[in-house]
Amino acid sequence: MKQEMTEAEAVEWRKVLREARPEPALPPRFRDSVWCRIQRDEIEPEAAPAVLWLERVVTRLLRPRMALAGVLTIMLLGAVIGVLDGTAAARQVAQDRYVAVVAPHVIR
Amino acid sequence: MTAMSRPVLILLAIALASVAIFAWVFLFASKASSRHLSRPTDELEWLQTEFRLGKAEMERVRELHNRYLPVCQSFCDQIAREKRSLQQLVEQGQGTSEAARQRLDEIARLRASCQAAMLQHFEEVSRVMPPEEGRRYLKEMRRFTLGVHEQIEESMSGVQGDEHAHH
Repeated sequence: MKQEMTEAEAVEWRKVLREARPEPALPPRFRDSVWCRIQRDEIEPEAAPAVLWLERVVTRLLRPRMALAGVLTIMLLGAVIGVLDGTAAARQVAQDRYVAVVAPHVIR
Repeated sequence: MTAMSRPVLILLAIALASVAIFAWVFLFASKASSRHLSRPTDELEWLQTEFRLGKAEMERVRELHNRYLPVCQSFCDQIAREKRSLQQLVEQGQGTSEAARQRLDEIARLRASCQAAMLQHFEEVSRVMPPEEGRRYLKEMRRFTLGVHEQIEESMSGVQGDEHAHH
């Protein structure tokens, strides 16, 4: 048989239940920060597609595997171009040295 | 910080870091390879690498080179002596005198003789090389030596590519 609960009894029950399950204390200024976030979300417009695209690119670039591959590629590129440049410089120095010996400036 | 600036700043930082890493590796590799490849004691190194000369060819070139150097040195010493003499005349206010004129003629004569010896040496060296490399060597040496005068004369006459235009 179903018994109807009066309003007074319901209030009393809710009070008993609340006391039986105590809520943890909120961190300081919790309410303020929640309101701040709500206000900020209302002020700032929804992110543009370009921003979302940039975010995605940055997230991808910052992945460890991607970052490592990028650094290694740059290092390899720098080393290859550096060796080519050094080789050309050494060749130029050797050429200048030979020309200076066989054809000094005084007779050119 | 706006929503746009955060990824842009991160991308900028990534770009700067990439440039820094590239520059560091590039400079290191460039210096290391340049230091490794150059042999400051051998002045004929360029001939060997540039014209792909073998050991026997290099020995013959070295022989010709060692024979040519004292000749070149002797001419250079004589030119330097005449130039010092001319300089003294100019300092004494005799820059237009007959003696100064004779010094200039002598310097020109010595230079011409020295250049003739130099060209003869180039011819001899080119004959030691394989024909194609020899032609390339002569062309290169002409550009480095006589080509300098041609550029100056062309720039002064204002005419390029027509050697007889000023006659």
